[in-house]
Amino acid sequence: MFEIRPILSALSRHKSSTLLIVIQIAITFAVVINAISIIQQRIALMNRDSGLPEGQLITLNVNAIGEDYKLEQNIRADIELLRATPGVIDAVAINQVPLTGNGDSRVIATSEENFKNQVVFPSGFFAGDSHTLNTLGVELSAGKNYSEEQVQYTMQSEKTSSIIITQSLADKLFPDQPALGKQVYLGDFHATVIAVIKKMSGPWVHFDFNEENVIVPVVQLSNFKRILIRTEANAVSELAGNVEKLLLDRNPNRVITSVRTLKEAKSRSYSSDNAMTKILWVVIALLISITALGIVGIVSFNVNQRTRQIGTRRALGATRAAIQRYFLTENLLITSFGLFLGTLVAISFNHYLVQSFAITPFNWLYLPAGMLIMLCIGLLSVWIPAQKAASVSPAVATQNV
Amino acid sequence: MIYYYLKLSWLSIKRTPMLTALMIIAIGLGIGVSMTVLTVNYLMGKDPIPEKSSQLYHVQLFTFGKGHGNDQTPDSFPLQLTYQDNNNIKQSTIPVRKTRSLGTGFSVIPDSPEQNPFMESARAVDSDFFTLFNVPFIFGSSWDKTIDSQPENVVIIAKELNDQLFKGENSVGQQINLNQTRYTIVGVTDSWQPAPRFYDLNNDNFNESALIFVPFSLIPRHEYPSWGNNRGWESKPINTYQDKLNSEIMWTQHWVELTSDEQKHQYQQWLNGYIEEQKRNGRFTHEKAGASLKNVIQWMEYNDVVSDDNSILVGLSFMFLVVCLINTIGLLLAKFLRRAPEVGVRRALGASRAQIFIQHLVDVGLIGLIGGLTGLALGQLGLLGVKALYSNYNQLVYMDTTLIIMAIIISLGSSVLAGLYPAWLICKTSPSVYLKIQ
Repeated sequence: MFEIRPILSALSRHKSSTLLIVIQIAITFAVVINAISIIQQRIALMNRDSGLPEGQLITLNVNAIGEDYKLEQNIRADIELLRATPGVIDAVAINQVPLTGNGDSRVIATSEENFKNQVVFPSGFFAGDSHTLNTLGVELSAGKNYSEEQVQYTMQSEKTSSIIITQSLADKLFPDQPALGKQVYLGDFHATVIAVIKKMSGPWVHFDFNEENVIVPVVQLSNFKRILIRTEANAVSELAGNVEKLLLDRNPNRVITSVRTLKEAKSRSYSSDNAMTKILWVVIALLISITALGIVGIVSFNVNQRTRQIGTRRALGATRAAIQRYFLTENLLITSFGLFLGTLVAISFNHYLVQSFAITPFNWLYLPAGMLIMLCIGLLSVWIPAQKAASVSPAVATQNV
Repeated sequence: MIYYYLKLSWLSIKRTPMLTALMIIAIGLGIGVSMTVLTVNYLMGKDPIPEKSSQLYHVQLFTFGKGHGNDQTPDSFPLQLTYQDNNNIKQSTIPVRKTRSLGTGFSVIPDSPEQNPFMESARAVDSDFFTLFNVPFIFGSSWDKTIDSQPENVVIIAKELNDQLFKGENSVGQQINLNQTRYTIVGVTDSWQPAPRFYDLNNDNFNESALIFVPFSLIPRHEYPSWGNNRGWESKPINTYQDKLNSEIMWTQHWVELTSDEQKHQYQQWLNGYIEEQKRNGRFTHEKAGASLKNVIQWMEYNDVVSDDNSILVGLSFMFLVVCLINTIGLLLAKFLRRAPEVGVRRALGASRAQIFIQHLVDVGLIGLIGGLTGLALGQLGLLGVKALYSNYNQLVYMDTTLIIMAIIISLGSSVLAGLYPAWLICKTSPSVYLKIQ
């Protein structure tokens, strides 16, 4: 009923044009599968849970001017002012802000011995007063926050006896053991783990150790200071708009830069991934349209070429549906050849990408899903020319063309 | 003859407008997409200083202690130098020019009280920096060489800042207030924005260049903060700025100009000698301790200036172009075969196979040219899109003449390539077949 044998024998008479469509479908399939896989990976990366109330946070930099600027006094006054501002839940002077791409990292070991032997784990290094946890809005899975009395304000290298670490770092340092109460070594001092954070992203979204972070009870006194503010969800944009003036009105002797909501900062950090996904979508859309248009063009031509043949078949009793079915089946066969070849191309191209770049292999489920889509696109593009073929009148057979 | 062929081509285009349009769209999109990606890729990896890129070398010293290294570089060398090593290698008299370099920044305090202070990125360098990198001056010149060892509060500003603060007038001799210290302006450079910013690849490679240049020798006096990367490995506390200057923290850069291979060899020897000397002093305990010189192009490749994403896109866009060409071959086959009876008549009337072949190639060439021009227009659109997506790619989204000529050549070449098989197929058909009634 599907006339596969006559179709195959007809195709074998048009080897080159059939082969061209097969190759075209194969490459299109390979590109689409790999591009979709990259897009999915980037989207998953961008949508990772950071553990933070991203929509409520504002970050900014304070650059002190001159050598007589009183660092500690000004930091305390700024933070007090911000905490008292309506709409603000909490604020902290901090050395770095998650998701922004800037900050300090330290390597951490479980003992001095391990540190010497380079059994160390890189981690984002956060330093701030006792409001740091509340401002970041992260949850503790064990232990308790440090008190304000434990916080040191210093221009010197930070040394502290208490440290808070993220669960992700705890799992690396102390696999299968509770980290709470354990000692860690940071190269120039030992500290006891007093609390564990469930989940918290660090500054560098593209680093493997993004979720491995520590917080220490230190306020570093430096001319360049970051401030992180957590506000009520509806107060973010208003505060982001007037926080610079608020701080300069208190003391104009500094420059406020990079006032950003954490959402803005985050989208800057991910801008290359965002751009990549958009470019890939455009490539996929154009590629599929080109292939579809090519199929439309060639099938239309074939229908024109075979007008007499179709007319003869109609005259001999073939129904319109049979003619239409002929072209649809033909396309189905060609597309299937293309997809078979395309699977091989897709796998080898993916292999190349995995070898040469930091790309994870695609999920094999993409193959059947992609095939289904390509088959539908093939059938859709052949639909109109097939309609046209079906409408050829049987009388054509008797005319001289 | 060519005119006659062109006329025939034009007639055939008019007879099959639908197929021709499809081919032009296919070639146009293929060229448009690949030119967009190639432009960004080409400009990313382009030689930013072709006149002397093979003479400028970035110096790397393996200063890590035993058991340490850099996991971000293929040879685990650090990307930057310690302050002390930078000063020590400055002593070498072998390089024609040399400069230490550090990315920093200032609050600029305008003299008129109506203008608010603002932050501006800066660079601490030696007097040779400007001649070494061919930085053009509008007013004045670099500071005197003696300032490289005996610091004075002098500054060179770029045109952009001079326009903002002095309305573009000659500001040499005037003073500006940087973080509450007054500096005397000795020179104003013309706008200088190499992309990539090859002389400092520590932060964003395509960021804008600094607009303020101060003597490197002022670092200990004014304690300039580093606006780039600081990499330490020693577990010694850093309590004062002086501690940092004396430490093994790597945060500064050093460039030299070496005009011959012999000079490069001599300098390499000198650096090896320096490493040995420091080893005797108890530093550089790692077995890899050594020195490495990389010229501008090597330095850019070492730092992966062309991003992985871009290389992937180049691969994808190439496959895209192949699909467009195969598409075109298919459409050409259809178009030419439809014309077989006409070719039969021409052959019977005495046209040679070669003439038929050439006529069809002219046909394809014409379509390729129109497709290529469409592709260039689409490529411009594509670049506008890229510009909107990547805020820091402003300098990477223009097509220069090389790229435009390349686009035309690719589109003509590939479409003629696509036309070879169909043209050959049509010219070898026997005339007699088509002279009969179909």
